[in-house]
Amino acid sequence: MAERERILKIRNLNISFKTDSGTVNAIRGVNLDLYRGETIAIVGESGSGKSVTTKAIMGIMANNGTIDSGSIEYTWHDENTGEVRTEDIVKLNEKQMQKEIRGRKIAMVFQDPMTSLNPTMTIGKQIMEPMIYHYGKSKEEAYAKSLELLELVGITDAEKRMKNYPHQLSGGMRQRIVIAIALSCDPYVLICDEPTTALDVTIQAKILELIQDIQKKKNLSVIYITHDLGVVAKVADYVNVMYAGKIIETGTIDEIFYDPRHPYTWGLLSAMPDLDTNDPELYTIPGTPPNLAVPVKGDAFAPRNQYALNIDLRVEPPMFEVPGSTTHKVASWLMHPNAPKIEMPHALKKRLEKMEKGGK
Amino acid sequence: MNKSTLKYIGKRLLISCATLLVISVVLFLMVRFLPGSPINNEKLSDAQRAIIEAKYGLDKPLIVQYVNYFKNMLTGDFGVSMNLYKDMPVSSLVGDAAKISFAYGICAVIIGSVIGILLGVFAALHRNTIWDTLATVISVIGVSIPSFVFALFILIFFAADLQLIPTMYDESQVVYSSIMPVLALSVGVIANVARFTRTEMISVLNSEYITLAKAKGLDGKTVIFKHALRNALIPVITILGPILVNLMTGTMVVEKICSVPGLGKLLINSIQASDYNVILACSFLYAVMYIFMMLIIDVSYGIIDPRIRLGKDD
Repeated sequence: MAERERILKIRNLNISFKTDSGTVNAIRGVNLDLYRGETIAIVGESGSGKSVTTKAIMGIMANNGTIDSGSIEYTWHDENTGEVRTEDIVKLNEKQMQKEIRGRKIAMVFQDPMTSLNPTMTIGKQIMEPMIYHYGKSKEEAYAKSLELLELVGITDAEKRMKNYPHQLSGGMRQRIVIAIALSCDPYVLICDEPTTALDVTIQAKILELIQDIQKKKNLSVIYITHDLGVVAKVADYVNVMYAGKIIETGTIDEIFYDPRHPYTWGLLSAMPDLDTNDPELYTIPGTPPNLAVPVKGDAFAPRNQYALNIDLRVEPPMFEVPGSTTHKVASWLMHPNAPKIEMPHALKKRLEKMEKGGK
Repeated sequence: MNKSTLKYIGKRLLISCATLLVISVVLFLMVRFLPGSPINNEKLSDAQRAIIEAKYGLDKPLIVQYVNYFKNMLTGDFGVSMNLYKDMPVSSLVGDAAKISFAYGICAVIIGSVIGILLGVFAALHRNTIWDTLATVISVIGVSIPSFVFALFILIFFAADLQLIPTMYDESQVVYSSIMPVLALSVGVIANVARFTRTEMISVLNSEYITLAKAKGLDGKTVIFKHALRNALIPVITILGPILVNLMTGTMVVEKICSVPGLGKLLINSIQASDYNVILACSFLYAVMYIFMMLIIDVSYGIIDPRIRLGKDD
């Protein structure tokens, strides 16, 4: 296997928002790596900070948010010289971000295609706009490339569609258009913020396949943000589980799905609906996420964690490496050599075993 | 403009005509049932009164009167003034007055909406800052204080004290004497449009397609002017029509204060004198304006917003 080429390297990222009820520490020391051609997923409940993290990468955070510390290093090959360049996005000013990074190197697909296209602009204009804007392409060039893109995202009748307005297309078509827009400037990284949540179930799988297909063709790196573990299982190479602004477990897809270690990950996996469970009730993780306007003491998940140790309430757990793996890391005191050995819930274990059998 | 748009306009015109027909009947009846009569000189004998009634056709049955009136109206003849301006043709009376009121109304709407939109966009972009508060205060003042108070204020301050503009309408100085009423009228427009624009702009700026436009890497100006403004202005246009019509009816007091010989003043005077034909023509003109304005707004709405572009194109 060729050397993996790192594109994004996020280290110790801290983001806070100033609100009326005080400062909310939305992101608390996130580390993340993204390699070329690979797919990572960020999984977590609403408000866990998944979207904020990616918005920080794009530099489109809300006005009241600030990056307090940390770095987001972005590495790319210069278009002209081909030399490798690395830049800390956090240090770039708004103008540089807008001219160099956003849209050009990192593009984004949004959650709801019904609202993410400008209702008063034709599809064609919306796809052509970034190319003309960033690369100074002529209208004809941009038009030709738009047609190509539309075909790439599986839209028939491309020429007719160019003249259409968003309201004339279905949700699935619109999401294809949004993807085409994201691809228009040949980015290296594609961030998909719950790209299928707002879509019909039948369309969901098609859109996911499309993104995977394009990823292969263009050797893109993709970041999925989702709370749908079904999506994660289908697309991701690596999974990052986020809770209360921290990544609490990270590993390959197999490690997270078949050998989860963090009680929160157990909870997430148990809460996934499936057809085999006889239990009349779907498991839910008790309690609610903590209020991040108040400083978190110890492990943020401890109050909801039935396996919490005393130390969880006092000291924040570091990232423990799972023995025998270089990729699997867990932020839980349960991983400490001196911690009592606690197994995942029996029902979940059976479920995962079944999944593993089914998966292989 | 394509075929379906034209068809739509045609349909709307037909409906408008039907509406106006109904309005003309209702107006005609209401005016006839007003207390008092155009022949209000108590010294007239019954015989004299009958002669005058016969002259204006008031002796005929109501239905015949209406049919005659309607027939004449179609030829552009709105009858003559019965007592206010003895036997002057109403069409020229109303026409002269309407010209002034129209010009004022349109000037006030143009000035008001340009300033109002700018103010609203400015407030939306500086949301929750001191600038936003300031703009909000201005528009709240503008909405809550009636235009004639502004007219009085301008009259006292700029015309009486500083003597920068004439205090009364002066036909030899049309532009100068128009400043006061137009300014007074546009204050309300500025306030309404600013408040509306601010709200719309804020909701548009929070929408996903603006985030997408930003994510495309467009600069702030492009995002605001190319993506946000157009979408924010669509609803603003819908309120411009009613504002314009309200202005024209609302000019009455301002016209009175500034002694402008406009439609409002004419309507008030004619009602006081029970001058049937003048009341009818003035009110009917307001109705026509209102309906016509709505038609224009609806059609232009379709041109600006493709979602309501009428009919299916393909």
